[in-house]
Amino acid sequence: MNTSLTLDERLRPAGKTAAAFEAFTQAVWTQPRIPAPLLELCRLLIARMHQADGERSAGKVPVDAAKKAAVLAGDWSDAALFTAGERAALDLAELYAIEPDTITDDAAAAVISHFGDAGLVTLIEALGVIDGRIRLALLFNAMEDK
Amino acid sequence: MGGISRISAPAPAGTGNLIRDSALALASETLDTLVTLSGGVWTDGTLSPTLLELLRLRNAKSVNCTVCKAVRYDVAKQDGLTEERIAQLNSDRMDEGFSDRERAAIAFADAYLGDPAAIPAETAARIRSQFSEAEIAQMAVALVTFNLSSRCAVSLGGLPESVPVMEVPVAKLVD
Repeated sequence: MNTSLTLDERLRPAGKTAAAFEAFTQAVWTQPRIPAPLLELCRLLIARMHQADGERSAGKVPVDAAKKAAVLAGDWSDAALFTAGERAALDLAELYAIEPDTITDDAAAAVISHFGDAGLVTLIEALGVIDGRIRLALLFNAMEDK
Repeated sequence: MGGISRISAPAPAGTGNLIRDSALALASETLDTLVTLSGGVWTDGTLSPTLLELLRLRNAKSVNCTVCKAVRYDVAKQDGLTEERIAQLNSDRMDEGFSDRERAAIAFADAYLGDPAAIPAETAARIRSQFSEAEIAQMAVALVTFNLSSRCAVSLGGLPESVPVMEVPVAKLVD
């Protein structure tokens, strides 16, 4: 089964463009503005919204088990264990996954207050990579099943 | 849509590259790889410019990115893609004027943009019959690149309500 984390092998026949996408993915996950564990929580949140069950057990980076459980249960917004910055990022991720045009000025401003303008741009790029890789993994799995 | 951008973009760097001269330059750690990817989708594969532009415009319509919908890349126009065919694409009138290969590519885009897990077996078979594994992988990378770019533009805010059609050289995406 393909997941967002194993997708590169499936894309490799694309040659240079696959390598370029892999490099962009790597850059997104290693940049210093948005911590990788927070991106992992965003990945789990978006996977949950896509009902991509294969993504639940896979892990890009280690995350706090209680936070992971809250995100996977869909009750992260009520859980006191998240910081304000994490809440802001997860809130934006949820809106992004619904539709980007549902992102409110307040939601974007909350991210900027914790991570700056560059952090908002970086987070949005990262969400694009995460959402896109989950979509492709789901699509390839479905095509291979049929 | 419409209104004010959510970030204070830096002054355009004046490089002539669409990405480097945009607000995306703020994310300096990812910038070089995004530029390589965005240009490479057009220059490093074997898919025709028309096919890539059909995928890009299908995505632009789905995300409702007004700028993405207005852009026409020069290479696709030179490859023969007309405004009439784009209008057909946008109105879902694809019974005529599109090859089986083009219709399969659009079906692949629609599956990615909609509910990827629910692609019908007949559609999956049609895509496999029209494209090699390498071409399917190229379409996948192109789609994810177009999609994340459009979603980025919408998410950052400040897009106009409508934008006139404008031809853009692909060279502006390539370093």
